[in-house]
Amino acid sequence: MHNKYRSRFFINMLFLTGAILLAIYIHITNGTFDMSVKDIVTTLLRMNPTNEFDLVIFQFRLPRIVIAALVGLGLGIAGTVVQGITRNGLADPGILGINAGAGASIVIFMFFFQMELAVSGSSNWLSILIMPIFGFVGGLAAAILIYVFAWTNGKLDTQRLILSGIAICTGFGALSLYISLKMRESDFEMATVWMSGSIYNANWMFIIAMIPWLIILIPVIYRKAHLLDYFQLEEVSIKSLGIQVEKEKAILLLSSIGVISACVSVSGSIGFIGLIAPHIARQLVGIHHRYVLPASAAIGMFLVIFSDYLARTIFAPAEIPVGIIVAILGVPYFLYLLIKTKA
Amino acid sequence: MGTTVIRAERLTTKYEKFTVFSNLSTEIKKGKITTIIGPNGCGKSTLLKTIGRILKQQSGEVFLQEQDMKGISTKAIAKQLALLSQNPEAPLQLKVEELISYGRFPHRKNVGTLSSKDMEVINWAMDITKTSAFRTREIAQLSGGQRQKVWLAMALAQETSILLLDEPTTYLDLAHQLEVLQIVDRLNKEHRCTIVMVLHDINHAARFSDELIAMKNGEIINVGPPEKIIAKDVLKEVFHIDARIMVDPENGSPVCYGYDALPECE
Amino acid sequence: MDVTMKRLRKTRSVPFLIICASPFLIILTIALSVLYGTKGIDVSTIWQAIVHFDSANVDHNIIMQSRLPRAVAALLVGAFLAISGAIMQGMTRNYLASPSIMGVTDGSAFVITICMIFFPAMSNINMIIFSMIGSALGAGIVFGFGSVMRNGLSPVRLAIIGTVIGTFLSSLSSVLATHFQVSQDLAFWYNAKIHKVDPEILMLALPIGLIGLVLALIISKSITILSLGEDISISLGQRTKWVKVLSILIVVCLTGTAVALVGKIGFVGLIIPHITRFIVGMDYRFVIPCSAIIGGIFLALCDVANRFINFPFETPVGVVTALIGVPFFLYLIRTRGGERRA
Ligand SMILES: Nc1ncnc2c1ncn2[C@@H]1O[C@H](COP(=O)(O)OP(=O)(O)OP(=O)(O)O)[C@@H](O)[C@H]1O
Ligand SMILES: [Mg+2]
Repeated sequence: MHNKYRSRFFINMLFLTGAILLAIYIHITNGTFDMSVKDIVTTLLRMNPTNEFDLVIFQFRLPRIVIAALVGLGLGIAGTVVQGITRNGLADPGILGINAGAGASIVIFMFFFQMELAVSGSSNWLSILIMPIFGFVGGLAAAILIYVFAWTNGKLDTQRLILSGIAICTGFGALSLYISLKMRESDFEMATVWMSGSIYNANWMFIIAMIPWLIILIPVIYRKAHLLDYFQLEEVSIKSLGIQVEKEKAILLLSSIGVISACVSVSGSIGFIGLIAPHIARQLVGIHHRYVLPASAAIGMFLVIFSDYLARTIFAPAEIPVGIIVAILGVPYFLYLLIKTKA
Repeated sequence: MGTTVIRAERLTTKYEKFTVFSNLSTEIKKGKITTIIGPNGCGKSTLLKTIGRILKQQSGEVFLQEQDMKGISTKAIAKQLALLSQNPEAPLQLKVEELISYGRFPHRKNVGTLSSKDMEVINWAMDITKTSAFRTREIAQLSGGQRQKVWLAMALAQETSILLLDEPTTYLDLAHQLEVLQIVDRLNKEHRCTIVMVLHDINHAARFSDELIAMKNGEIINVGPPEKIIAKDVLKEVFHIDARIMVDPENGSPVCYGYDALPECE
Repeated sequence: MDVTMKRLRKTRSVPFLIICASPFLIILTIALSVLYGTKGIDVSTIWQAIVHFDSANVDHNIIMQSRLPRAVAALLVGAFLAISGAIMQGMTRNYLASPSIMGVTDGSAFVITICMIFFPAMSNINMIIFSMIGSALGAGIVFGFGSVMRNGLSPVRLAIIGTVIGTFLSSLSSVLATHFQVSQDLAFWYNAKIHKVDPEILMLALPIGLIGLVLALIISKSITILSLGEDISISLGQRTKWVKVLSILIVVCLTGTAVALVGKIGFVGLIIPHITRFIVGMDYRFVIPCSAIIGGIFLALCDVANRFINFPFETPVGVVTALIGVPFFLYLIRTRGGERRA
């Protein structure tokens, strides 16, 4: 009886893969320095490489695209999990303050370990690798606070969840701002650009730093994805099926926080992906999380790659934070979805 | 006679500060239908949930087949005992057969596909509850009564020998109430299921149960066969009503054919 | 309703206490605000500046051109935002409503951005007017979407729609600003610029704010009735539509002026009404004036505190309001959050 879903899923994934490839194509060929596909293919295959092409592709565009893809993937997945766990299609890591927590923690890290050094000299690669860990601690702190304030009678109370999410988000935001103001000027620049969500100082170190998190945590989440279906029932029914609700929720939530932190540590907090991607995914492939999860990941990838392309080129050579483009593209569609679905 | 399948000893359960019952002990006999009756808020659902390990008791033990339930994994319990909640919820876009297939969770090993055994049980559950007709519909498109039967089918798909049903007949019209209770009766007679349920209609309780548990204010007032519980003095104590009772000449169970509220007395 | 009435009776003396003590508290706050700062000024100089203003005296100029306007602006803005928040929460029966969550401040900042791009040499009075038009725009979009929803505006939905539209508008603003290279000016607007209040705008803002304040007090009784629910309100013979229209006008007026004065300040409009209801109960005849007093003093004191956090540099006042307000708000959520209050 799952065949219909499966074919619908595969058709949509095919379509999404096409969209992602298209976005990558546009991203890599266009810009202040236009290149043809032929140039790119020959460069990638190392057929008579020129320094110029090498530099543009390997130092600038490719790391950006890879990071955009990974961040979109991670946020799409984390958003699906958070919405699934809270049984609330409007929850999202950004609104719940998890991004802000991870962000504040990383700003603190930047403050003490002078971010500027870390990026310019690859000698300081250690701090880049440590950043996601700091992010994780901050995200975890936010999640714990939310649990403390929204936990009543053995479950998360939605009303309190949203209120305390807003409060925690504001609090961590203010903390980040305060600390960033105490930074040296050059660090401050970095921190503000980073906080508003941008990928423009992409480099391969960042990719190396975030990949282990994704490789370890995403399979964990995917293996538990089917549980998210059960979590849509009410508490008593879930427990009666023999599911260790709180334990499984904690595993899923912690894994998502890990993924979010890895993403936030390289790209700052890019809002809306985690909110919108799962919604779009459900419209496309139905409500089964085994399908929603990969679809949401793919949609997240597409959105971030494409938005990053726009962020890089619209006002070139000026860069706009990619989060802003995501909001402008995503919000109208999100509102359209809200109106369309009866809920 | 009959062996005990569930034994609760000195249970205390509370919600935050509010203690629903303390030091409550009871037994459920194997292969029987036991019905809990009592006024709203007296702790029937809480007792059922505690027995079904949904709520953690503050103190006391629950024994399932003489084994302390704390020592059994929740999944293993789910293979022996299913609980139908008083107000179950599911996503409205879910298909009926999908929801019922959720009941197979404790038996499934690989998450991907349903085995032929799974399908067999699901079909059986749909047959017995007469839900196969709308198996491909979404939950949103069902009436309240149809939904209730689907939920019952999900509990049946769990393939357990014990069923805990919290008010399985609420929202149902007279005919459907009877239909559900007859399904329950059939499960008990043909499949030897032990059934514990909460009902508000004492006549239904009398007719379909082997044993009644009368509760009030978190205490068990009386336990026994319907003839003993559906009696003037017990009903007076539990519900504070003056009941008029006779024996149904058709099936011999006691029937309350009318009642009046008793005057307030402190 | 019974509970509401009981709470009313029990706590009636508290709001009177607050209102009676307010002149004293306000003067104290202003005094603190004028006294403390990067440059120490003593009490006698202040007195001199007020009684015999000497335009050649540096200290006198600091007092009259900077410190005093700043103190007054903080009081006014805090009061405006708190009243707006209280009205919105009462009117929508929604504990999440507030000018910053409902897209009002973002709308205002958005229109200001457009003005800066196309009419860089705009006069102060026009600034205020456009800021109000922006507030109306933001609120209009959020409520518009809310009314299109089939199952209406649940608190959670309203919060999300408001946040989402607010982000959308501010994203648009920043793209426009980047494109037309007015980011710097925009940042000046965005970041609460309480320490650079223009005395001229302040003089213009005062009357508008006072009109709003008086109107708010006049409709406060209707808001209490509205906060009991639309059905009750109609059955009590209230013309709900007019009350709502008037309420939105007041909110737009007050918030627009606040943004024109000092830029975006979040959170005050959300938490102050909560705190006030916590203290004085549910009757908006008391909630509105007390919110105004508490909000004004809260913001002014935060403004004083922020001079010391990172002395001698100024910290954006939003940081201070969040650092003080967030823990208190979380405490309120923990103790009373589950209870649905409007
Ligand atoms: N989640 C909860 N938090 C706090 N108190 C609760 C909670 N659930 C139930 N109670 C209280 O516990 C007591 C017992 O509730 P329970 O649900 O067991 O009653 P019940 O006998 O099933 O009633 P009904 O016939 O209405 O279903 C009631 O007084 C109720 O107010
Ligand atoms: Mg009950």
